[in-house]
Amino acid sequence: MSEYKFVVEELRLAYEGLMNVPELYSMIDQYFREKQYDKREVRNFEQTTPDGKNIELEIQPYKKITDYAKLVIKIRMFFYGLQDVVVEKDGLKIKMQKGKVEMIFDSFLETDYEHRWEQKPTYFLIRTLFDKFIYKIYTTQFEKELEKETNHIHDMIKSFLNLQRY
Amino acid sequence: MTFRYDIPRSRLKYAGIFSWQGLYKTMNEWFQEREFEFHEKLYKDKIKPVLPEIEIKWYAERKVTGFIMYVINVEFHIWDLEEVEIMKDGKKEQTNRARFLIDFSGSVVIDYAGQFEHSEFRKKIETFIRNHIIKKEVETIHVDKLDYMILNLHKRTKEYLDFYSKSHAYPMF
Repeated sequence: MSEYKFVVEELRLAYEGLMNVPELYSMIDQYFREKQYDKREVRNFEQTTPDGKNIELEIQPYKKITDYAKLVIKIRMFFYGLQDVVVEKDGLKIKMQKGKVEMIFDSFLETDYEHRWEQKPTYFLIRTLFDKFIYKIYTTQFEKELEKETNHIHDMIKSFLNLQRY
Repeated sequence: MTFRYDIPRSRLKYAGIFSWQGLYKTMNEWFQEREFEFHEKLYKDKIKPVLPEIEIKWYAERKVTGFIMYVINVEFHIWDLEEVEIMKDGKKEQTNRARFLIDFSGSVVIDYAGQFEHSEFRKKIETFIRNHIIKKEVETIHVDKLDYMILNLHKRTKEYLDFYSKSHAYPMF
């Protein structure tokens, strides 16, 4: 089994009000594409109810830094009671959504994701010693990069949602 | 000796109004456009007291080279499928309402014809070729390409169902 080192755990964001959900998703998708992450959409649930649409979305974009280490950012998004509204902005009618959203951000560094160093106990020992004493300088750099990118996407989404208020 | 590089499963769930026939046709067409050999491995229709429950399994394969093959698996599970009438653009339209889930997964199969199975020596040659000669090519070209093909199918399904999260910023295959 791979080793997982959690860098950011359960960073939350909650918002209620006007938002453009397709544009929000597109912005997140574009961000990860630009940062050279590969796309992984684990779950996408949409349920239409009399009170609006409920959506549950989990994405886990990842980036293979080396053949030993991989950066993963997991974002879980929960949208409740989404209803389509038409808003007039600068004389233009725009279709948006009104509702509640909650997002949870986790990110972790996965090492030995190809499972090459766990086939025998000796390999496992070598891997542990290597991780603790030799490779530590690199994993620290990877963790810093991952933390920076997670906080960046969190702040981008927060700014995007706050702009929708006006 | 056949070896598989598996693409992890992704899941779509939906509850609401949609056209089942239209969805089936749209997804089927996607495989035909990309020249996959398409098989419906399972079609189970359970007639329940009130509304039916349907399970469907699709298996599609495409031989890329004499040694490498792409496989895509799609599994449907539909509950409470019923026909409803809606008003669309001032006209009455027959459509469906249900809740369902669709699982997408796939794998890149190496030595699908089992050419290297016949002796221990051949198995060792296959392992050497797979781990040292074609490894990077398979992982960077074929596995990534199949992963994005499955995401494309995912996107086509979301577009048909008009999901809010239907946009896709990555290359299309």
